[in-house]
Amino acid sequence: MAEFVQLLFNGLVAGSIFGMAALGISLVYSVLHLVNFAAGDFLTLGAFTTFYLATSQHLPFVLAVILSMVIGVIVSLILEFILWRRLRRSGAGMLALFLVASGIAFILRQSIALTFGSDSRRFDLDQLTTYEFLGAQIARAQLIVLLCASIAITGIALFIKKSNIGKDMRAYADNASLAAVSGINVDRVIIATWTISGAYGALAGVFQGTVQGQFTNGMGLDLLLAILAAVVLGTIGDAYGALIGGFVLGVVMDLSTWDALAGGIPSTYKPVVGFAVLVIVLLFKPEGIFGVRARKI
Amino acid sequence: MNKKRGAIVASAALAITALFTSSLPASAAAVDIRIGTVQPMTGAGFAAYGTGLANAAAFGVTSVTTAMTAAGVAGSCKMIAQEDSVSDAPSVATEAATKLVKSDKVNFIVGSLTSGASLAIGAVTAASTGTLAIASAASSPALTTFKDNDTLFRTYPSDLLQAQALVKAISTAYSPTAWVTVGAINNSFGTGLANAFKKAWLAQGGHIGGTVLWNGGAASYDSEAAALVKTKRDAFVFIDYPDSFAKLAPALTRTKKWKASTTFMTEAFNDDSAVKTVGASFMNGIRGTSAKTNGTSAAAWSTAFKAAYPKNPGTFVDGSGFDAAVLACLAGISAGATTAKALAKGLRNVGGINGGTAYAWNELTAAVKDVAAGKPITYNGVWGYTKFDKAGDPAGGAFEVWSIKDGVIIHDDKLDVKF
Repeated sequence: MAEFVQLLFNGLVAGSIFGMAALGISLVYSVLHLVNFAAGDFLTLGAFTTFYLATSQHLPFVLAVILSMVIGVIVSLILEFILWRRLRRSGAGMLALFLVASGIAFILRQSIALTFGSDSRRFDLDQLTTYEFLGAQIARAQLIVLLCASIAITGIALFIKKSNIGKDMRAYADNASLAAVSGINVDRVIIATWTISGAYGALAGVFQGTVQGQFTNGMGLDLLLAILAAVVLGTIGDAYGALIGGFVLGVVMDLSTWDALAGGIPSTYKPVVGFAVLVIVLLFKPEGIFGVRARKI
Repeated sequence: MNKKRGAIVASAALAITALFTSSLPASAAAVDIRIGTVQPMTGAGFAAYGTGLANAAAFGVTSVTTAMTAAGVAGSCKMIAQEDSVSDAPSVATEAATKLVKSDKVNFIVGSLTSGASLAIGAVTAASTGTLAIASAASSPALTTFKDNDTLFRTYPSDLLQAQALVKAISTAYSPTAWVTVGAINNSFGTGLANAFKKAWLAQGGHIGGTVLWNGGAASYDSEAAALVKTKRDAFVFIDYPDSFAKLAPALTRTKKWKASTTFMTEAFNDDSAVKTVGASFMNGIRGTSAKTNGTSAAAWSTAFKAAYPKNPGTFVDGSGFDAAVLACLAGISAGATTAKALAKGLRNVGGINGGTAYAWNELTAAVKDVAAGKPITYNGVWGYTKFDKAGDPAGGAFEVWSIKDGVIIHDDKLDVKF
């Protein structure tokens, strides 16, 4: 029981981070039909800027996190105005956008290395305090990450469902042409999309850096495949699906090492299990878990 | 008539020259040796090691060049380029090695730090026609069996020897029949040394409580930590790098079932930068083994190196990079040619496997004279003798046991092991 609780908790923490990062990718795809391969590096950007502001500039950690989210948004919007908007207007296809996004990822990663150096970093946070729950050791830092991620996830879900701009985003994702002729401010929708993507990417990076205890400028790249798997698992273009996909992936990967499941698999094969689940789901539901609601945010 | 007389004089001169030179050892033709390095000069956990090895190699080339001038030996040995393998990713190392072989046309690549990157470089040199690689800190047994067309050498001892050193250290600390749980990073270095250790430990009557591998870029290490602490054990052996262990150590601590004082590690942690990366609070009490210098005048070399490169970060393995570059230059002089086959023969000719006078790092002028005269020598470098075997491995090595107390690495010479 203790092992199950431990693995389930670890999986939920990992899944919440996958889900938050996947949300941005899925939103951007649903609105702009762009698979943002640079999303992983926004996680790295968030972690490094938070470290810089909190450790080097001695700002309170929460303020540093908020400023990092703002920086993530600013970088996303700069890229929208100088790059993505022009590419859309020039009629760039999916392959061109994919290649540009990959290039942006590389530039962003190297810029982070040039700006902050390539040494590993660690937030000055307590990572060792634990609480015992049903025999499992629940780390306070992980618990805080899980709670904050849950609040952020619930908040964004409500925002998309209830707010006017959220409704506009859903309408635009459903039918871009119809939304445009019916008076929806398309530019406002796109800016909101990049804002959410940049802010949540940066926040996910801070959470990942907190949970890992240490991070390098390759952190986002290391997570990118799992994040993309969460996007596809939850149906690409479905924001709620991305969140659920992240949780499913995180929990399945960690529980696969459980002794009770035929001895559990070696932990080095956790990513293999994650992708095997993805393949199995896609075999039966080719559009992902939320296939019926595809492209409706 | 004049032409006929000229021909007779020339023939006589050639005959006298041939008669005279046949009584001397065959001297090597002058060649220009081009050297490049591939080392991780940036990137978490490895930059201090890689920068030190690259600087030491450059210092080695300069030292041989000075010796060649003093000895009046023709030819040259030049450092052409120093490539950064950024955290020693094998793919980056491949790219860097390809550039050195194809564009810079180097005869030797000194590098890299890790086994994975060194194997990647070996794959590039194996396909080349005139480039050899000398890995300066790669320790995986996989290098021994790698099909490299006799182009991949190393100055650092194989982990087959380090496994024996670990066995001795743990036997001394616990007992020869103790239960040991082995954890390792899932790459050629980690699995190679883990398997070598387990084989050696079981062979001497010890018990293995379990083996857990982990991926370097995993999203979290909590399930790995849980798997490690549920095993039966008296001690742990962890084979890892600082940047990944920095993520595993908090996860292990959170289980409340791990004690650093029961843990043995390897040379990647025998450096202040590693303690800083992981955090002294996690490292205090950890012990480990590490290859160490076995050569002559190592302290004097460190002083000379520090004077030449005052900003060098300085790690325990710097001398291995120096030796690799010196051996490369001497091998080129010995070979008198730049084919891979001739250079490999030259390496063995100066490494000591064929005997010859022993020369230390500060006796390079005399060493260069002998080598240029076609004699085999035994270069007894900063790191020690190499005596390259058929696989390009050094014939022996020396190991020390280190421990960490209050964030400081303590070396105990009394526990040294020599093979």
